[in-house]
Formats: sequence, C-alpha cells, structure tokens
Amino acid sequence: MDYEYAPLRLPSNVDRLTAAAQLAIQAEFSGWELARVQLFRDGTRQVVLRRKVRENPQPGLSY
Amino acid sequence: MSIQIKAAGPAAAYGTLGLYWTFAGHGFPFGRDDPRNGTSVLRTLDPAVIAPIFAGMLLITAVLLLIMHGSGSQERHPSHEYRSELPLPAGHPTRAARLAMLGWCWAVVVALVIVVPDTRLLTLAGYLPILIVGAPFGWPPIDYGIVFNWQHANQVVCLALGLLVALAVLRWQRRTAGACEACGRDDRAGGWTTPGAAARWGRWATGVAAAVPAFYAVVRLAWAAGIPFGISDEFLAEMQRTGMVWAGLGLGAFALAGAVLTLGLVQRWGEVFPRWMIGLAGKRVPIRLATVPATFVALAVTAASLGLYSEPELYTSELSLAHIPQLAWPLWGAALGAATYAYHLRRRPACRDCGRGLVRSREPQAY
Repeated sequence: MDYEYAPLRLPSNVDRLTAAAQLAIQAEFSGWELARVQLFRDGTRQVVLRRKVRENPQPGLSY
Repeated sequence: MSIQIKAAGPAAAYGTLGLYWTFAGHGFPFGRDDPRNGTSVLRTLDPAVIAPIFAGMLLITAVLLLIMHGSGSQERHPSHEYRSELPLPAGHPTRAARLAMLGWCWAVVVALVIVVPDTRLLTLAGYLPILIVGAPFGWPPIDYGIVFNWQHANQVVCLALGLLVALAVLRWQRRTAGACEACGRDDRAGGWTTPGAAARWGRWATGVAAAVPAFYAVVRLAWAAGIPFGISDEFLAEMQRTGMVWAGLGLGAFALAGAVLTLGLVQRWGEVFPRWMIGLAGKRVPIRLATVPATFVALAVTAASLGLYSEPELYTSELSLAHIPQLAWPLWGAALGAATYAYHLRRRPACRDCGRGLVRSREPQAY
C-alpha cells in the first residue's frame, strides 16, 4: 500500500490536549494518521502524518 | 397542509437538484467522486449513473406523496378493511396499489436514512459537542472546512428528508389501514404493541443494546489495565509506549456511559429523574429526551455497519476479540431501535386524536 506523507510542526505553545484534538480531527475527517513525532528541547513537536494514497483527490492537510 | 405535502416539497426540491447534478455532470456528493468515501456503500458508483437514479427516485416519491395526500379517506374505516373481501370506499387505492406505493416509499426511506449516510455521520455526531463548545474560543484550531463540508451536509439532508418521508408514509399507511393516523392504534386489543408486551420484549432488546457497547468498553479498559485482550503483547506494549491505551480508555469510558444510558430505557430513572439531579428530581423524563437521541444513534450505527460489511477486507482479515464489538454493529443498531420503540410504546399516553390507550395522571407534557 502506498502512503503519502505530510510534515506538520506544532509550536511549543500548543498544549498536549490541543495537539491531540487537532490530530484526532485530521485523522477522523481527512484520513491522516501519525507516522512519527519528534519532541524538541524547545517544546516544538515535529509531526509526520501519513495516509493511504487513493485514486480520487482527498482533502489536504488544513494547515 | 398535510404531512404528505410537507414531505413532497423537499423531496421534489432535492430530486430537482439531482437532475441538475445529472445534467451539469458535477457536484453529486456521493459515489466515486466523494473524496472520503472509504466507508460508504456507494463508493464505487459512477455519478453519471447514480445521479439520475437518485433524481428519479426522489421525484417519483414526491409524486406518490401527492397521491397519498389525495387518497385514503380521513374517516375511520373498519380495521379489517385490507384483510377482508369488503368493497373499498371511494377514493381508496386498491390493495395492490397501496402495497406497491408503501413498498416503494419505504425502500426510498431506507436508502435515504441508512444507505446514503456512512460512518462519517456517526463521527460527526461524536465530535460535534466538542466543536460547538470550543468554537467561540477557536478550539481546537482546525479548518472547519474539513468537518462541515458538502458531503457531510448532504448526508444530514438525506437523513432528515428520509425521516420526513417516513413520517408522511407512516401516517398514510395507518390511515388506509383504518388505524389512528397519529398513534397507529386500532380497535384490535392486545398484540405486541401494548405497554405490557413492549415492557417484556423491550427488556431483551435493551439488554442486547447495552451489551454491545459494554463489551467494547471491557476490551478497551482491559488494554488500559495491561491485559492484551484480542491483541498481541507487542501491540499492547506499543500502545502503552505511545499513550494510545489512554485514548482507548477514554473511548471505553464513553461507551460504558452509553451502555448505562441505554439501560435507562427499562429502568425507573428512565421515567422519573432520580433524586441526585437537583432541580429535576422527581419530574417525569420527557419521552423524546430518550427516543430522539437513541433513534439517531440506532440509525447512524446501522448506516455505519452497512459500510463496514461492504468492505472486502473485512472478509479476509483475521477475526479477533478487538474486532467483535464493531462486527456487532448491525445487532446493536437493530436492538437499540427496538429498545427505543418499546420505550415509546410503554410510556406513551392516551392518544389526543383517538383517545385510545392508557389514561395516566399528569399527561400533558408526556413527550
């Protein structure tokens, strides 16, 4: 199965709950799931999302 | 204006929109062109084929609703009318015509209410409270366009239209069968719709409807407690590492709350607010406070299970305890629907139109 990937950077002022809600909605409504999360020393999260590639166009990452 | 006319208008309007989709060649919200159609039964269908069928289906239904408005006398008829060889009163459809009209309209209702909506409707309902409460604060910071989009709006419209058509058809069905149009009761006594009978079979239906989400909750709570119920040890370890078990715990708690609320359909606290609910204690629970959300969940779960069972991967993947609660969705939907109907039959007061049914004290605001 082919995946497409999208990087997403969450700034340090985004708290855990907000990040979780944001990512849950991306997963539920746009099909993006977590591939990798890196937490940096300054509190920034570098997230890589992935989803299965399909024939018809899908809604993209909303930011 | 009769309910049939009220339903015919929107059905004709939506059918006309279907004609536009057919001739314009774009905009049809379901089928192959729907970008997130993974859980929809209609996902492989070509809009060029399905859009005209959709339009025709609704326009024919609108015409049938208009015929229903003009046929079937308002007077009460003997309830054995369609089971005997008595001549039919003037203005009544023949038995065959009545059956054909009912068959068509109920098939359209099923299509609108269960076939068109998919898992997204259930997901939307799940997230809506958070989105509404958080919206004034801009929380969570997301693009609302991915949640409130064209496809979701059309699923909601189809569900609402289907329920409106169902109501109109049900009233005509009752009228032409000689029963009360408002409540469906006729002069025959007994049967499975009496409060006593509904209390008996409703108990079973409620038990099943509560057991499915409770089982789901048990599996998720077991994972949070470190028991790899239906999954491998490695997967549990990974979930513990990523914190996914806590998400499972939250969902499990949510399901458990749903199971407990379901039990209210046969419990005393489902009829009268319990003592600890300050301000409401001792007051009657309005019937629709239970039946409206329960009916929505029953329909949304049944719609979602159609999509689930239409996925070919379901039949090739290995069966585990982790999947069983989801496989039981059709059973859950049917049991919850039956339990809700039993609650309605058990609690409904005497009919305001025909006066049949049990007369209880304090009835004015029963619904």
